[in-house]
Amino acid sequence: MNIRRMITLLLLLASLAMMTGCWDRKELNEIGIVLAMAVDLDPDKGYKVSCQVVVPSEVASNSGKSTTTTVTLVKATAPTIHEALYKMTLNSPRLSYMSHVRLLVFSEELARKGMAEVLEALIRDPNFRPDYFLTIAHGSSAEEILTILTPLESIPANSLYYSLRNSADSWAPTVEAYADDTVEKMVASGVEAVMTGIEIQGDQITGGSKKNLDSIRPEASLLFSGMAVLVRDRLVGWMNEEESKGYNYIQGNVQETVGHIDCPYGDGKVSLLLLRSETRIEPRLIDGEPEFDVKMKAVQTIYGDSCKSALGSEYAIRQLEKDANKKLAQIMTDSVKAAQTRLKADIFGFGRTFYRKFPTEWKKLGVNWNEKFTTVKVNCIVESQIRRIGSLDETITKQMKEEMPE
Amino acid sequence: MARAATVYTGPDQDEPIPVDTDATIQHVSSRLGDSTDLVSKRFLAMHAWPAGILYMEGMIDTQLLHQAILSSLLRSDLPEPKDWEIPEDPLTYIKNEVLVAGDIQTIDKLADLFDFLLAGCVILQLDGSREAIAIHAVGWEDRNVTEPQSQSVVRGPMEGFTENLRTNTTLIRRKIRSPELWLETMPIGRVTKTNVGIMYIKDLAQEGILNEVKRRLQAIDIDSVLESGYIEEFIQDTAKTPFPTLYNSERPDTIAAGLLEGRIAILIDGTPFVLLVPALFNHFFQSPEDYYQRSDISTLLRMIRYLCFFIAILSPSFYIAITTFHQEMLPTGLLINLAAQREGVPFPAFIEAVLMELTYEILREAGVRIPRTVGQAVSIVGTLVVGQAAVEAGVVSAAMVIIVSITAISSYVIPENGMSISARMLRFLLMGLAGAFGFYGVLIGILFILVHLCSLRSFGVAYMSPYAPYKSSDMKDTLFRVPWPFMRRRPLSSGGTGTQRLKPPERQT
Repeated sequence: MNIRRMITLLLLLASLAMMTGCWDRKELNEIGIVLAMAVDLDPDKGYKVSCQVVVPSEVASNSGKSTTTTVTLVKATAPTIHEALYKMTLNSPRLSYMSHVRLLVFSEELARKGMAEVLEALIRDPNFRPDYFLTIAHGSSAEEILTILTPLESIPANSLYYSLRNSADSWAPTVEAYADDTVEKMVASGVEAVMTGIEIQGDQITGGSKKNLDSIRPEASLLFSGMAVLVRDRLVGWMNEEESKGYNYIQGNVQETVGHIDCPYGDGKVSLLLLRSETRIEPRLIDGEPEFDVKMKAVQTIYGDSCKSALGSEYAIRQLEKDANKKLAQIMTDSVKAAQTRLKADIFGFGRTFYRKFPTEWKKLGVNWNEKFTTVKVNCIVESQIRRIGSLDETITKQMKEEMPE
Repeated sequence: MARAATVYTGPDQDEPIPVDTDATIQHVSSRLGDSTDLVSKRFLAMHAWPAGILYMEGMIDTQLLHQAILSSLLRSDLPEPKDWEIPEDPLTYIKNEVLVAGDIQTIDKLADLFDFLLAGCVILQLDGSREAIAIHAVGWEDRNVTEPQSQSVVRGPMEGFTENLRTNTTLIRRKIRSPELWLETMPIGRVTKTNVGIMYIKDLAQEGILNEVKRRLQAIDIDSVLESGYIEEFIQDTAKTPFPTLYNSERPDTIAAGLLEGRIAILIDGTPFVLLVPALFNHFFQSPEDYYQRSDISTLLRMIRYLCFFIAILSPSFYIAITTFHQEMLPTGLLINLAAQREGVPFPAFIEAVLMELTYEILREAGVRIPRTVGQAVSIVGTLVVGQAAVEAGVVSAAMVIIVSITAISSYVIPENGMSISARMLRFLLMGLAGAFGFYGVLIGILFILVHLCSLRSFGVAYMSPYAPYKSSDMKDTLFRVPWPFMRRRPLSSGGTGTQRLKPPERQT
């Protein structure tokens, strides 16, 4: 009797497990893995959301013949972001799976109007992992950015993701704007957010078809260009390459990059590899007014020299160091100038460092900070060392000249 | 009551042996249903007394019968009977003075006669005597001491137990030449009367556990015992567990090591598998080789074994949970790769996993049963069907095959079969939970298993000790195997008395 009752109970429990229907279950071949998302503004219906969905069978290396592109675009227009995301099921057999989004592209128009509403929806949704990069389409709609096929990295979103990471690390004029960090900057006082811009180079109609990958020189390619500067959640302007580099120097974001200085005497250039750098922003309070020292320490290596002067001497190296210091300081100062005069946005977080050091003064000075920031004095001090001169001693140009009989 | 009457009890305990030898032979023969392996022989013992011998052919050593028994009873160089004094009791005379065989017992009950006869003794009765003598002349065909089939090692003794109880006790006694090594034997099984030996080292084994073992063995009332598995199920603490609470081994060195830890061995006649109690979770991950190799590699291997146990239990359920509930946990590249593999697979991951695991279990079971000559053909078909064809046909994904293979291989890393069996069973339970609830279900499952493990006892000793209850001094032989010079005390938690193993270190003055 007891055993029979036990068995009945067990059966009931087992059926309970079936009844749940596994509400949360999604098989891998039932989801569309979205790797990049683009948001455009639609004048009548709200947002136009486009998702770059992976076609897994195309990406996997061993699945012989390829019939379609590696990614496909699913889009929908709706008054809110999530309505659009769910509306996508209208033209896609698979439910969009958003956990692996790596890149979010805003159209410039939307960025100028404010991105808060979109970001709010995406950060609130637990299905999104807020570690994707935020970018702004430069010179095209956001959707078009997602329609370009890329060589080498077969998934365009991955291509952009890695390219952004690498360039931020080793070329410097781009910035890794993670969604959570960026939103934090938008919310915080005394600092403004920046993002990287993406533009399409070449013929974007061909760029979306497989023909783009048929030639060594792709018809169209994606390119990171300049840095978008925001005030709160709105785009206010762009910084050029040099200014962006200055921004990254001040932020201490640079892992490694290459720059050049002009020769001390005569024409020619010395190219320098920045091996590592460390930057500190030191706020000061002088006569009740904030002032900032940006102190940078850098280690460099000579990677190329076309100067007439001899490299071998200690004196020449010190001279080059001085020039390099001047050059780096100039880049940073230019960047600060641009932020102060043209963009009127404290993207460097001067306000925040000031607040951390002088919290009581900040209460007064922090009001309308962006305006105050335009007149703040910023000193850039660079202390760089040239540790090595590479595998050559004298320059090849110089060696050749010495052997000439004149 | 009617049911009880049908239980076989054997011959009447008190029925005496008939006085007439012919009657005895007649009786025994008919009692055995005229079995053709019963040999009876009438002759004139010492040229004086009509006698009869009975034995079961094949169970005795015929050489011994001829040389030690028959030749002395039928000696031709004996003086004529009239020349020597006729003994008053010829049977005692024969027993004490004529026979050179060693072990001889006098019997007067028919029941005893059958016991000895069927245990391989030669029964000798003189006409007109109420008694008979049983001469121990056991000698049947035995398997040699060979390398054990299970639990093989690279380094270490290569001998294994046989089916013969006496050989087995000898194998152990040869390793532990101590008067403290005690052996008690009792027959269990009303029909089979199987000899069961309890071996332990006096002073090392705990009195309480020893008494408990004896009590449980004596309580067994079954008609037959053919293998140690019979005994195991009778004396285990609870049947309601997938985990083994008795350790078995066919390696004398393992059993000897267990005895030296203070554990108790139960040897059953007719099987090379000797039981060792108490058996703790920890014991099932100890391989005899651990103690013969360097301690560092042993420690590493121990950890790998524990890891493999978890792989064997969890890997299919993890795969199911991740691919159907928690795709966000995978790196993007891996996710796309897995998604590509699953493209076109018609089953949900859960069904796919169950199918593949079942297929594997079928192959495994078939592999055990299949005659060796066709084994190869089946294994080729198995690999092709399970591995290649299934993936190429798109019925299962390649990743699933990897998971099933690693699970299967991992389960064989566990040195004792009993533990890998429990891993195999629990795997399916966890797969079900993973299929229904994802990691949440798997976690609940693990929690239940853990609680269950902690509630288990093996002969009163906590199954999870020395992990829980934690005993730091016993940790030296668990996840780690410290070098021998540091194993000062015997483990307390495995049921021994925890005495010194090494000479205590000399005090530095």
